[in-house]
Amino acid sequence: MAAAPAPAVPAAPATPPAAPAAPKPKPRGDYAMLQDAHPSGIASYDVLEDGVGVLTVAPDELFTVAAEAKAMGYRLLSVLSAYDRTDHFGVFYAFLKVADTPAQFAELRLRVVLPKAAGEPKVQSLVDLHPSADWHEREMFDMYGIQFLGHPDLRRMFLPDGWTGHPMRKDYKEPEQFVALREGEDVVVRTNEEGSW
Amino acid sequence: MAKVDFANPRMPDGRAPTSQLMTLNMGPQHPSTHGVLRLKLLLDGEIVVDVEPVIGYLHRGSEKLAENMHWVKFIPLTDRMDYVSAMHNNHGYVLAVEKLLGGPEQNIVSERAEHIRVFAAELSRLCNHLFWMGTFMLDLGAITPLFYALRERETILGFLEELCGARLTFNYFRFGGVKYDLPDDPTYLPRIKEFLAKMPGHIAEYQKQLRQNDILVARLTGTGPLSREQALEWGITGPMLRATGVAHDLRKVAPYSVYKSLNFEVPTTTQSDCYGRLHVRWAEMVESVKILNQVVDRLANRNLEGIHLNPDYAGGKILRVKAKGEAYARIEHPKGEYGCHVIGDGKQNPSRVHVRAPSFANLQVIPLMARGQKIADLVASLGSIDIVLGDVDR
Amino acid sequence: MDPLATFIAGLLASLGLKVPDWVAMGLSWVIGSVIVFTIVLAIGGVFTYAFRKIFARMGHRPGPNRVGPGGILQFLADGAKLISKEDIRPAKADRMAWTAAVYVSVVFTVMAWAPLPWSEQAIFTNAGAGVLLILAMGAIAPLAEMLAGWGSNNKYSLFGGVRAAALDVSYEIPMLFCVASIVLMVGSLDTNAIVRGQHGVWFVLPQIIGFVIFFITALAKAGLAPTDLAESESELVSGFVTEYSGMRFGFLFVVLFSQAFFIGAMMTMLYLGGWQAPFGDQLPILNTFAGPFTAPLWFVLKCGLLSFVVFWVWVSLPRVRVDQYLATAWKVMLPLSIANFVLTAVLVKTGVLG
Repeated sequence: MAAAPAPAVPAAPATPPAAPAAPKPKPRGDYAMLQDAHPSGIASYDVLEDGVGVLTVAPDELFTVAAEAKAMGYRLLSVLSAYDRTDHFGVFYAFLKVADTPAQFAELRLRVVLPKAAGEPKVQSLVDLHPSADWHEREMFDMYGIQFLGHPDLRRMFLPDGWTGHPMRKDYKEPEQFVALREGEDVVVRTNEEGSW
Repeated sequence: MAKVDFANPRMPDGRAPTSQLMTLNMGPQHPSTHGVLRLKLLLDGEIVVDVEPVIGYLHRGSEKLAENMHWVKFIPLTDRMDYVSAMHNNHGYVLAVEKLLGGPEQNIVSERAEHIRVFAAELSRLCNHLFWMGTFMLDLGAITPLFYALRERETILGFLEELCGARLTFNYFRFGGVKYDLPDDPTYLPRIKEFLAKMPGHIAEYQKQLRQNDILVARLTGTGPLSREQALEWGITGPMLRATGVAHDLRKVAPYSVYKSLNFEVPTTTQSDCYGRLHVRWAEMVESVKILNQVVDRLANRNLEGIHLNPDYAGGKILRVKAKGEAYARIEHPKGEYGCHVIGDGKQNPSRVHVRAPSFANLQVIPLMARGQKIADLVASLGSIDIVLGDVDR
Repeated sequence: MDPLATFIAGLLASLGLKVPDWVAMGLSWVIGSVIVFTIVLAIGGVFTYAFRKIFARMGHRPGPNRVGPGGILQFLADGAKLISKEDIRPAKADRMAWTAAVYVSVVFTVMAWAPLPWSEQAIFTNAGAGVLLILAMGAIAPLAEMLAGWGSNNKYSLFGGVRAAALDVSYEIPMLFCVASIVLMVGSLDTNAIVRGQHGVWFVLPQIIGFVIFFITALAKAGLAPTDLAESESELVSGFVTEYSGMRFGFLFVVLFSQAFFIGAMMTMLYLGGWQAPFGDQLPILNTFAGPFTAPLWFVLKCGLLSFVVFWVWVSLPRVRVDQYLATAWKVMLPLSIANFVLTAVLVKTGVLG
């Protein structure tokens, strides 16, 4: 084995990956600041397998936490992903401090856990904060049916408007037949009498 | 971006239109939508009042497919996302899974394999930028630059074919290394060195022919403007962001693989229009050649330790045991940040693979760039984003 | 009686048929029309091959090389393919306008060729105002484009038609001023007189401004790159040609390529001494080196050279934007051409020129 290449995210807290027996890692830096500022909104701090921490945020407090993170310099919404575990949905956010040098670069990850027992998954939309969340949220709505409250135009992103169900859910059953491309009723297009659209 | 109201259209400044506006459906079959992108245009004569991109025509549900296949079997599917620079897609996915397997230190890839990875990835970046330049010029109505670009791209594809047997969808990266070592042919690296020596001259040739072209300068200057603030708000990454003056390059600021030990610059410009993006990509090609020179020298001269593929991780069993947990890895794709969010349950198939596609994130901004400009400018702006619909729709 | 009619009358007389003059004249018109039509379409066809070959060379490719020696018969194969294709008419098209557009385009393009002097004798209509006829036929071109654009009932076609009309109208005026400068110098609208007027000094020297402006305006009027805004494929799919298929498309295509030759022919006639040999007086051998074919040969050579420049520009330059190019027409080309016209007038009046 050769010398280890550099870890992908050097500015991240250098905490070891969470092993089952290891003590719970302590947040540091910006993570700690956020947690201290929102003791009620942030449920827990974990470190993922790639060594970067993630704060689990209550769905109602997501916007305020993200707004504070933005004020701290995490201005670029890098990724918005969602996932379906057996008992809950999760929404995963990563924000970046856009930087010219490695020293200025930093990453902040947030996670929202939406238990399936609590009914249809709902989470605050970040579109007002990060306009780029628009399509990412639409994609996750399309795939998981997660409602992003406050999104101006929560439509399906990839699948046709007439599709039923959200295919990335683990309990999704493939339909026996499906509606192919269909223009949604809400997309009103002015056509002349000839229908030349 | 709020939905465009085609029934009661508004001008960009919120006024009611003074003349009757026209809706035009551009795509999904259209010569310059780079595949099957559909744009619903609201036009005031030649002027674009608003645009609504409609995507999903190439949606193949790769992320859903991933949940039902072996971790390794998903690698060829990443090839088919952004088929213009498939090596990078491989890299992003493999890197994310390696983080599950090897932890943050991730010392499961030998130095030799890392160098081969960077070698393949940077050749792929050259391919991507060359092809982008050609098709971008095609969008502007210049037909010949494409063939100049393809001339060099063909050579590179030849090299990549010798490396891994494929020319477009490489399926080359594996967890713990790469599928094949460098070819046995002793002339392989010297031939690449020879090509790299010529490449800056070729780039200078494109620059000379295109930069001095008044029509091109007039077409591109001020077209598709995007300020630094807008770029950050809209999650723009890659050359698009660097064209607004931010030297944000993940190879530099968050180095993965062996980029930390390589010497290269991050080109930027503050001319955040289509012309600036052209310049940034040209300069990036020069930097890629620089990186490649260093990597090839190391592969040729220094006896890099290790083998190309870590046998402990090549098989499927290790994935069942160790692919547990959650990780996100990001790389600097030629088009922007390419990220892979993976969740494993310790089974042989992933529980979740999400690909953060640069084209998808960057395409969002097209209405912002095109509003108030001409149709021809819209086409130029769209070209300057560098989208591949396979990457947008996945 | 023009030479062709005389020839036909003589031919019929030798067969023992004595025909009145008007019959011979009528026959000569019919035969002449067929010849012009054939020449135009043949040149258009050959030029598609020439263009593809030139384009291929400039792009490091071999180009068409399968049909016939060096691929020279490629255009025939393409033509056969186009003829055998289904003729699809869009269901909602305006039938009259859609159909008429092709005929208008072809007929008036071909008519413009009639007064071209291939040599002193080889001219199909030696009308007294040949230049005027050419310009008038050229002025009808936007009609075909508008008919096609409107009749196709397709927004892309409509855009193409409107753009074509805007460009044609804008660039017609500077072009007319360039031609008018020549006419001032010659004092005649006769095409052959213009060529003869260039005995000694070709008009490209005194009219160098006009030469450049004429070339640019002619490209714009013909709708050739970099000003092929009417069918700019990256924006408008194919502009006003979008809804045409089969041989209807073939005709529009051939017309486009014949324009490349026609631009060369116009400029040869107006600026490069027409069918006259270069250094004709100094090197008399050039005037007779191919017997009676010398003059047409020179004409075709010069046309070919200029057409090559047209193709060269076509494959080299990106497309201009429509507003930029209209602005160029009104703000640069028009004042320059007027200034050139006034300058020419002054110089002719003072006896320096003409």
